[in-house]
Amino acid sequence: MAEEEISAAQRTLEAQMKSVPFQAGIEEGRWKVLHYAFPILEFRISARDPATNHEESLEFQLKCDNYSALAPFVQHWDHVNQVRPMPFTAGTSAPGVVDALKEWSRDGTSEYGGIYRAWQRHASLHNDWANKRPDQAWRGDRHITFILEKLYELVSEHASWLAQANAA
Amino acid sequence: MDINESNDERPPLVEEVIHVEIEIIERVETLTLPDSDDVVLMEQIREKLELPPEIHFFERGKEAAFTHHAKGRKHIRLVGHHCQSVNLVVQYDHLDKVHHFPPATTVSAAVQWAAGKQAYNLDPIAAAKANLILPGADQPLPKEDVLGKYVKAGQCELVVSLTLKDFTNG
Repeated sequence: MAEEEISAAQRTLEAQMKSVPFQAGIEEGRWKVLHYAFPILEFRISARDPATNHEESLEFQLKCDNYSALAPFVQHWDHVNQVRPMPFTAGTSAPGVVDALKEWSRDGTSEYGGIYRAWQRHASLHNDWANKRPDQAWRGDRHITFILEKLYELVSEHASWLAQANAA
Repeated sequence: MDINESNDERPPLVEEVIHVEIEIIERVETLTLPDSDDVVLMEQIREKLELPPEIHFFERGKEAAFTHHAKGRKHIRLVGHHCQSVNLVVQYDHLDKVHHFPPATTVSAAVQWAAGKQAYNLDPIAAAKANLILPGADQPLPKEDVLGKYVKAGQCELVVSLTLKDFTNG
């Protein structure tokens, strides 16, 4: 029987998922793959506030079609219910997290645009963001852990903010 | 030797291995090494990459110097650096705050320290915009990078400024 052919996009993504940075993140407990069926990847990202050790986790869905030429579409996600959770409101998480996970429409449409950060597929086009922040923007030679590290930063911020709020 | 010959001292047929990625300034190497209690991982890395004894090993993002990996780990990310710790000087608002970090500390963790109570104690709105930037640069340090990457050869000090310029909004 002939082997099933897979696309270059899928091959690239799966090779990166076998890499040391990706697997080390799993072993360190920073991320966990909840579901994978190309081009969809769902993760739980966990981070601790370094001062208090308070831990928080958030779930995200990535759509990796035409990977890695095209930046993944990334959204906050509830894996069990398969929906995007309600966005955080001001005062319920760090301002940077509230901003990144806000509801917004991609340019010229009424469709949700995904996480509002320069590395995300649709946000990168917003107000020429990718050109203003090349260090944050997706490029075809980036690794999938570039996105996971950015999500880990958001969850770290969320954990630190909640730790401070709980202590206040 | 007959492969079916009984020999209790023969090695297991499937050798356990550990996959290591090590970052030394701009150079990143990936190694697959035997994983056994009898072999010290650091010595294997040093030998394979011909690293001098002055290079110290740290696990990425961890506080303590790396000695040995935890049982069960099969993938590990290390940073090799000539400094045992980096003297980070953060300048902001005509003040300098100094802290010693391992070279494998991420910029993200250093930003959290700089914005936090132990340093400039920024309010949450300001802290959300906080970045570290090298003198004269127009873009902040990528938060996923490690501090050691920006330390010059022969030095163990890194001077940066804390910036609250809003880089987050497209």
